[in-house]
Amino acid sequence: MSVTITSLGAERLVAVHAPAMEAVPFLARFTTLQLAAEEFLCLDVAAHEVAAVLDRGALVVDTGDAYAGWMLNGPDARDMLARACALDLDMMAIGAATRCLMGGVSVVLRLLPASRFELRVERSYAEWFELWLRGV
Amino acid sequence: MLLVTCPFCGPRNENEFVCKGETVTRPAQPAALDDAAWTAFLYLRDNTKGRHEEHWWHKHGCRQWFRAMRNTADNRFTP
Amino acid sequence: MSGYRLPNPARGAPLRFSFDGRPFVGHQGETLAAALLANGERVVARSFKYHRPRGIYGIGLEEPNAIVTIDDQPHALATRVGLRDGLTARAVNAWPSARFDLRAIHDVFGRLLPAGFHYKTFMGPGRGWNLYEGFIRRAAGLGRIAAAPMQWRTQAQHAHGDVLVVGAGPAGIAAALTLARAGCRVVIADDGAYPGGAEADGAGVLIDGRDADSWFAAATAELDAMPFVRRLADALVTGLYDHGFATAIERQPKAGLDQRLWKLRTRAVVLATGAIERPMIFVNNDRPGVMSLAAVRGYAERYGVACGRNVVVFANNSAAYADAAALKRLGVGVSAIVDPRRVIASDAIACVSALGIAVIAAHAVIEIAGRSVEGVSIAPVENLDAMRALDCDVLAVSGGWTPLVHLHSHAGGRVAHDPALSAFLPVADSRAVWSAGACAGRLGFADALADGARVGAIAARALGRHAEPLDIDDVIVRDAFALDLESSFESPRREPGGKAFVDLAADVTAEDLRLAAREGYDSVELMKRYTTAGMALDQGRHANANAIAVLAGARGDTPGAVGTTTYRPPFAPIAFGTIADRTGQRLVPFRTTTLTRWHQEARAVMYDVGGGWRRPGYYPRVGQSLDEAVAHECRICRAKAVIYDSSPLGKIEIKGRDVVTFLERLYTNRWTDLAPGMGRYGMMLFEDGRVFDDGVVFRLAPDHFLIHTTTGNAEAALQRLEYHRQIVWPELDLRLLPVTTQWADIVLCGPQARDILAAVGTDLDLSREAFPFMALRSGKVAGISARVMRVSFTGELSFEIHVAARQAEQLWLALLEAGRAHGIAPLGSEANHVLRIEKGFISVGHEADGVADPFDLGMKWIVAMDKSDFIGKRSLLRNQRDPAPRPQLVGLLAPDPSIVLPEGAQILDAAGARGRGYVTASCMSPTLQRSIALALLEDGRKLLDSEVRLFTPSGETMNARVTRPIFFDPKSERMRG
Repeated sequence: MSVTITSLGAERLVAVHAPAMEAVPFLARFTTLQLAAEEFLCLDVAAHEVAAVLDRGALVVDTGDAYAGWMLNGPDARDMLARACALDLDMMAIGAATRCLMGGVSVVLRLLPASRFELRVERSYAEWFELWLRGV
Repeated sequence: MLLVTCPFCGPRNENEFVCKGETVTRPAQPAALDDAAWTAFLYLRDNTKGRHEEHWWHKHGCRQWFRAMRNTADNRFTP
Repeated sequence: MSGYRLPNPARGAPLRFSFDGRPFVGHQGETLAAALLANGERVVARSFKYHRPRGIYGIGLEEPNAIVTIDDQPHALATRVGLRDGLTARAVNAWPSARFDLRAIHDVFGRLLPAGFHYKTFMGPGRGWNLYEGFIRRAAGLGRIAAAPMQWRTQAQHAHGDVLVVGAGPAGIAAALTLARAGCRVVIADDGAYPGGAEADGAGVLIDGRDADSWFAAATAELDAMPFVRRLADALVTGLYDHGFATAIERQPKAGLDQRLWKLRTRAVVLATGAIERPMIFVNNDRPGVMSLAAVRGYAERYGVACGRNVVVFANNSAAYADAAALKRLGVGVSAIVDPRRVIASDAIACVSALGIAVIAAHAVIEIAGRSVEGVSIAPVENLDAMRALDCDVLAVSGGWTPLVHLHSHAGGRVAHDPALSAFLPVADSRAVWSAGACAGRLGFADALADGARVGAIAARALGRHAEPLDIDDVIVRDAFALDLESSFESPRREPGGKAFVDLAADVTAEDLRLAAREGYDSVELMKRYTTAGMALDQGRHANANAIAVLAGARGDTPGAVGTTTYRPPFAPIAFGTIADRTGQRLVPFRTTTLTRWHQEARAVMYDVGGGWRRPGYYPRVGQSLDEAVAHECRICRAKAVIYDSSPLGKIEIKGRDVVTFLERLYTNRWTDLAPGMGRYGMMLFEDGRVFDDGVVFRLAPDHFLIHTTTGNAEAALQRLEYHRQIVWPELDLRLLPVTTQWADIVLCGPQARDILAAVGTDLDLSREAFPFMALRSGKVAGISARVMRVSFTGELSFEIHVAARQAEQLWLALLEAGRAHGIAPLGSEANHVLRIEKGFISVGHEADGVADPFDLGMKWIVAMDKSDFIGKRSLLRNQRDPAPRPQLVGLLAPDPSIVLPEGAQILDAAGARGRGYVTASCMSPTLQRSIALALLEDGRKLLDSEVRLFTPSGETMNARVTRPIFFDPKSERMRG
């Protein structure tokens, strides 16, 4: 079966809880995943940079150590995801991200062009989740 | 496997959620309630057969709490 | 011998297989059943209860008899097992073989084993049950489970679409084409290897001049070419659930995989599941050689196998005449049709007569003599004295057709009885679930095709799409006769006695059903459970319609009034391994910290505890027992210093203008007076006053707090905070985020902790004045950015150091190095448990046991009752007025200091009859060099220094003295230092 599963390694990640109207225009300058009406995850940026562009009422937290992630790549990646995940992937746009359930734990899923997928879980689940994912 | 519609994420399988059960409104002044009324708030629910208003939490998703109307006889959700 | 191969040039390659230890030859593409029939095998099974010899009855899922063990997998149907080279099959429920079964003795005692006999026998003597049970278990049941683990490779896969079409016969394919051409995303699943429906479907059918096979081939190719159509073959849909969710089992989806479980979710479902043929009821109707007429035709049509040389048909409907004619044309000898009806459609009679088949009207098969069909006894329905023998080696029966309405019923659909078909048909409702074709009562190829197209268009419209009619002008079916069914027929009997089977798979006879009705079990649900009709492996597929008709007759009622039992998934048996989807290490998520690897390499004994975290229990040195290791770690902690990994504790950051208001409502404590940079041990209650969770809360800034929860309640606490933030008090200005895994928490505690922290290097002023108990300071420790908090769970001087999780090991090693000269050691959860018991600190899950409130636990200092309201306050007020004795936290000392009181031991009342409390935590204390325990005891504070009696889980009684619930450093001077 042709899928490569590559660890994303240590990343810079910042979690934000702030009202969408206040946050979205300013977070757009970063790579930002919106996971809830008022919750965002910014990729590849430091917490102080994000805090600097937001209202001081926003809650901005460094979560670089809180996640573990993998990239799924290859012609069978889509099929593998259809085993791991109950979402209707055809209805999701490229670039979309969401938090969903796989194998019993919350996963932040992001669809990338060329049939690539990023999966991020809470780091404490990393060892178990990789075991589970490779057996899917 | 129920399909529950989260207001933010859209339709998802029920195992992404926690259903807290029948909606209750927390009394604004619990001290003003007598024991019978407080007991009713804590423990008594209508448990309707039919349209049942419930609170759901999207635990493995956006973590939003929302209200849903589910028919307990046939599991149909209505807006 | 009866079965043989018709001359047929086109067969697959020859294969060898064995059945009951004997070798046979079959062909690629055949089922095990077809190959056994072709080889002339008559007896392939023994019946469930009476061990009567049985032959193959059907051709597919409706087969009630031929259950086999294939290699090491029990409970396969011979009619659904594809032959492969080297296949080994054995009959179940027969020893040593189907042909010669020692348990056939059960048939001799058959009259003692009617339905429900097990409710009336083996009642006494009571002790005899141990003897009976062994014998009964060995005698009952089907098949054997292999002793060694099976090789069973499965996968689960999700698929989505607009509509699921179940069944790829004429109705299903017509619906799928209609829907797919209208632009819907279609998933179509069929139990067979390729579309076409039942084996007998399509023969003699011309669709716009093309034969059915080529029409199906073209339709399949068109569907396969569409990107939004997913076609599943060899896939049986086993259950239909809420909101368009269905499960299907795909057999041998690819090399290396035995089964695939499909989890399908669509907005609409079209059921084209077909119908199965019903048996006829007469004495000894279970003998080898009695077969379903459609199956006999199918074996000839599909596999070129003739089931016998001289077939007689016994049917009460005219559709059967077309099957008989087709069978004859295929070269199988059909000599007569015995038909209990007096008036039979003339076109049906003409058709079969032209082929030399005699029609014996107004007659019935009364019984079969002998243990296998070598002839049947027939008689005019009204005159059993004129009984005569009719020669044949196969009796092909057709008692009508039963639509398969199971999936329709699974998700709540109702059925209604149609007297013309003598069958239950699905009743349409407002769900997006439709039935088409034979399963909706539209029997016959042309009707099914048209119905499929019609229903497909309805479904498309419901999905918001416009469907064009199917481009078919003309469907010609050779020999299509209207059903003209005479309702479920039971042959009259010449004499009482003799077994006329209704459920072949469960060995239930018509007399059993009437007995149940006489004994009062006359509702359909009671009849099923009392007689076990419909409870065998096939769940009564072939039997239920006849059973309901017999019960109706016994009650003097219509079948519609009797109704059906409830159909529940699965439609056919599913292996547990297929549903399980994962086993072993992959089954339950476990969680690790960034220090878990270090703990494992240090040979800690690891526990998987609360919340799935894998944590070190203790670190035994070579040869040390658990008790020795724990005692050692405790001594080091009280005398020198230890480090332990507290990372799994829940952590939530919460911020906003209204954060203090919110926290004061959620916790028992006051928070307004907590200065930034300080922490306080907080407690949350349930609304009914019981303790929910505890943990230290730190104020980082005036509007910004960091909450700790217990490890096991981290998720529940987040859920509760979000519920109150979003639902109960949405007007409050608040933001919150869980940060549990961002931070590693390393706790350094013991009298030497301060010295070691200084030694490892920090820019923090560690003096007591600058860094008091419960303070939080940010700075660098061992060169790493850290938040340090003076929090103690052990009762010793303690610094909890938070660093980004990936830097934990670096800090841990630095502390070990800096502390080496001081005698530092790692501490596990077992020792932690002992240390906190010595201090009388409560633990959620032990003392906070889901019953006690904070006053019960002696913690009135944590409850600010002067707040106007907080969660739990109203019930605390009620508890304070409670006249009944409350459980109160006390300590217990065993009279013999070497005896550790068992956790969970019940404390008895004075009479020794009732429990009034129990031991919540207990250990041997190395600090005090004696055993100590904590307990909850009714009115315990009034019983200080008195003796109580305990009843232990192992059944002993022992005494203990009640004492205060703190054993060491009662003023907590050590941790405040």
